[in-house]
Amino acid sequence: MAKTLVMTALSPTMQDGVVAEWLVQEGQAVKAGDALCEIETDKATMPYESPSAGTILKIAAAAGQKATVGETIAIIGKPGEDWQALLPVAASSTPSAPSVPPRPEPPAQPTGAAFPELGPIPSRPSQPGAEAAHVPVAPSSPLPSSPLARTLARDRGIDLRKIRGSGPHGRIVARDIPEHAVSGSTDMTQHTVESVALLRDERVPLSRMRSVIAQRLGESYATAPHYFVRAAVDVERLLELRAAINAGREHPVGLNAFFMRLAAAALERHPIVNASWEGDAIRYRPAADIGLAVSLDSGLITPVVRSCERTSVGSIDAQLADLITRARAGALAPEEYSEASFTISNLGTYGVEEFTAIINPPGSAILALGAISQEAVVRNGAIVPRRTMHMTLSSDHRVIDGAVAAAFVAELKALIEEPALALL
Amino acid sequence: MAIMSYREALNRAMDEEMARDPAVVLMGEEVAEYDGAYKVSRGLLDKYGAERVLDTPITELGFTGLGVGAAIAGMRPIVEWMTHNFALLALDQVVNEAAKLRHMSGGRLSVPIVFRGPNGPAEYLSSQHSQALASYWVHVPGLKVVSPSNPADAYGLLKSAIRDDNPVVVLESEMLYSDKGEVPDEETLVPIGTAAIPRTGTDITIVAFGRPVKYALEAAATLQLRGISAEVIDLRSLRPLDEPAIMASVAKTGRAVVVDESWPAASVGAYIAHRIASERFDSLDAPVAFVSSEDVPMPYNHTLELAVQPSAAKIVAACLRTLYLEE
Repeated sequence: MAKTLVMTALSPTMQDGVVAEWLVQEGQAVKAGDALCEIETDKATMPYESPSAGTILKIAAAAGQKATVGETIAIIGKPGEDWQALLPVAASSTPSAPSVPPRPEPPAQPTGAAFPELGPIPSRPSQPGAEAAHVPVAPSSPLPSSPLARTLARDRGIDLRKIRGSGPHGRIVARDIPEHAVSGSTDMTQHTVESVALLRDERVPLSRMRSVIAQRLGESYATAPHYFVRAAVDVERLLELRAAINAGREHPVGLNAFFMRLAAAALERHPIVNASWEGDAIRYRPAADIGLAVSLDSGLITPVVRSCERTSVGSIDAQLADLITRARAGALAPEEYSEASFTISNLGTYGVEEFTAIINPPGSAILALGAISQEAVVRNGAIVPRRTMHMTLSSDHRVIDGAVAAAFVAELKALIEEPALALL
Repeated sequence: MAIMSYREALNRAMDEEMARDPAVVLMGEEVAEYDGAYKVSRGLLDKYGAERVLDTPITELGFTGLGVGAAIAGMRPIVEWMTHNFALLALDQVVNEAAKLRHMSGGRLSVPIVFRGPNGPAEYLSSQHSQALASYWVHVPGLKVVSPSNPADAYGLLKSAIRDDNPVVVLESEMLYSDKGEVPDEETLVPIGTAAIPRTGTDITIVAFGRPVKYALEAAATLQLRGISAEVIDLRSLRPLDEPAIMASVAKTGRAVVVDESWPAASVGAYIAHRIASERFDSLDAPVAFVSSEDVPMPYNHTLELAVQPSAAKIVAACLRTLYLEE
C-alpha cells in the first residue's frame, strides 16, 4: 500500500528542511536505506534514507522546495498504485505551480543543541522562477550567472548583484533578469557607482544560518544571567610541554586540544560547571563533552569532542582535525555539533587580548581564550617576560555561583600553568 | 505529393539518376540479384542490367576500392555497404583514397562517388551490428556526409550526393526504411549543407540528425503540452554543417539540446555542442545539453538496448533541465 514519506526532524532544532537534490526519480525502485534525496536543514546537508523498499510513485517536494517537518515530500508504494488520495493538495514538481506557498521562517526552539548554525548553505530559491527577480542577495563572488543573463543585464543596465539567481547553485539565469529596466537610466548610473564601492546600501535577507544564530544566542543571552570571571594565565610550561610532545611529530598537536583536555580535568573537579539548567532541575552531565567554536565562511559551528576527561590530548586533536575539516564541508551530523556540556571559544589567532563569549546552551559556561603574548610579570621580586594568555569564563548564574566559577577558573589556571597537575 | 517509404525514396533517387546519367552504377553485396539486403535496389538490375548493377564479393575494402578507382576513371559509382558496421573494413579506401585524391592531385583528380547504407542501431543486433558511426566519416576533411531523417530528404539528398563531384557518405537507417512520408512528385534536389527546421519554436533548440529527429519532434510535441516552444533542427548534412541555421536558432532561444544516437565521446553531437558553446556563448542561458547513447557496447537484451539509446523522454528531460524547470 502506498504511503507518504514526510520531512523528518534531522536535527534537534529542525523545523523545516529544503530538499537540496533528489537522488531518485519518480518510478524508480528503491531499497530500505537507499538515500532518496539530500535534505538541507538549518545545520547541514544530510541524506534522507528510504524507510522501506518500494517504488517512488511521486515526488511531492521538488528540489529547492522547503517542507516543514511532517510534510509529505514523496510517496512510495507499488508501481501503478493510486497515490492521489495521499496528496490532497495538488503537488507539482514544476516551478510554475508550487504546491507550498512561501511562508515566514519559523523560529528555532531552544531545545538544546549547539547554538551556531552550520555548514555553508547555498542560496536556493524555495520557488524557482516565481518571485526571484529584484531580491537582493549578499555580495559574494564569483556570482554564478549564465552568459545570456549577463548579456541581458548588461543590455538593460542591471547590476547582477541585485539579482537572486533561481538556477542550480543560485545561478542567475535569464528569467531572473527583470524585463523593464532601461539602459542609461539614473538608476544604472547609481549601480555603476555602487559596483566599485565596498560599502553599499543593501538589505540582505537572513540566511538560515544567520537566523538560527540570532535566535539561539539571543535566547541564551536573554534568559541566562551571564557574568564573567577573568584570569591571566602563564602558559610557559604548557608551551614547553607542547613543544616537547610535538618534537618530531609530523602533525603537531594544536593548543586547543590541550585546553580542552585541561578544561575537562577542571570540570571533573567542579562538576557543576558541566551541568545544564532545565527549568525545574539542574542536570549534571556524565561526561565533559566540550565544544569548540569554529568559524566558517558563512557563520560558525561548535563541533563537540565527547568525554574529554577520558580522552588523550592526541586523540582530542585528531578528532578536532576531522570534525573541523568536515564542518567546513558542511558534512557534520547533528550529534557531532550538539549537546556540548561546556564550550571553548578561542580568538587568540586574531590577536585579541581578551573577550567575553555568550553561553552555548545546554551548557552553562563558555570559556573565551585570548591571544598568547609576552607580558612583563613580577616573579620573585623581579620583572620578567612571560608568555601569558587572558581567559574569561562566562557563567549562567542560575547554575553556577560566583565562588564556584572563581574556583573553576583558579583550578584551570593552575592546570594550565602546571599541566602535570592534570596527571593527578 | 506522393506518399512513399524511405526505402522507395532512395530507390527512386537511384533510378532517376541512373536513367539520367549512364555513368552512374551501383555495386555492393547482393544489390543486384537479391534486390539489396534491405530491398533498396529493388528492380534496378532488371532495368539497368548487370553491367550497371553489380553484385560484389563479400570484401568491403575490395569493392569500395573498385568504386573509388571507377570514380577516378570517370564513372559515378554508388557503393552500397550492407551496413556501416561492415564499412569499417573499407576505412582505408574512404579515408586515405577517396577523401584525399582531389587534394593530393592538386585538383586534377576528382572522386564522384557515393557510399551509402544503414547506420546506427536497429533491433536485436547486439554490439557489432548496432553502431552509429557518423563521426568516423564526419571527422575527415575531403568527405561530405548526409543523414536524411525522412523519405523526402532521403530522395533529395541521395540525388544531390550522386551528382556531387566529391565523395559523399550517406547515413541511412534500417529503422527508417519503412517510414512513409510525402515526397515531391517533380524531381527535387535537396542541397547538401543545408539544415531543415521541421518545427519552429522560441524557448529551446533541439539539434538532431537521422533517426533521432523523430524523437526530437516527439519531444517537442510533449513539451508543447507544457507550454514550452521547442525548435527542432534536422541537420540533414553533417559535413558541411549548416552552422548558420544552428546559431540563428540558438541566438533566438538561448538554450540548446543536441541529440546524437552514437556514443558521446568524440561524436558529431559533442562537436556541435562545442560549436554552439563557442559561437553563441553570450546567448546561452544554460550549458548545452547532450543526449547520446550510453558509453557502452550495445547490449543484446532488448530492454537494455532501448535503455541505452536516446529517446523522446530523455530529450524532454534534457530540455527541462536546460530550461531550469527540473533538476
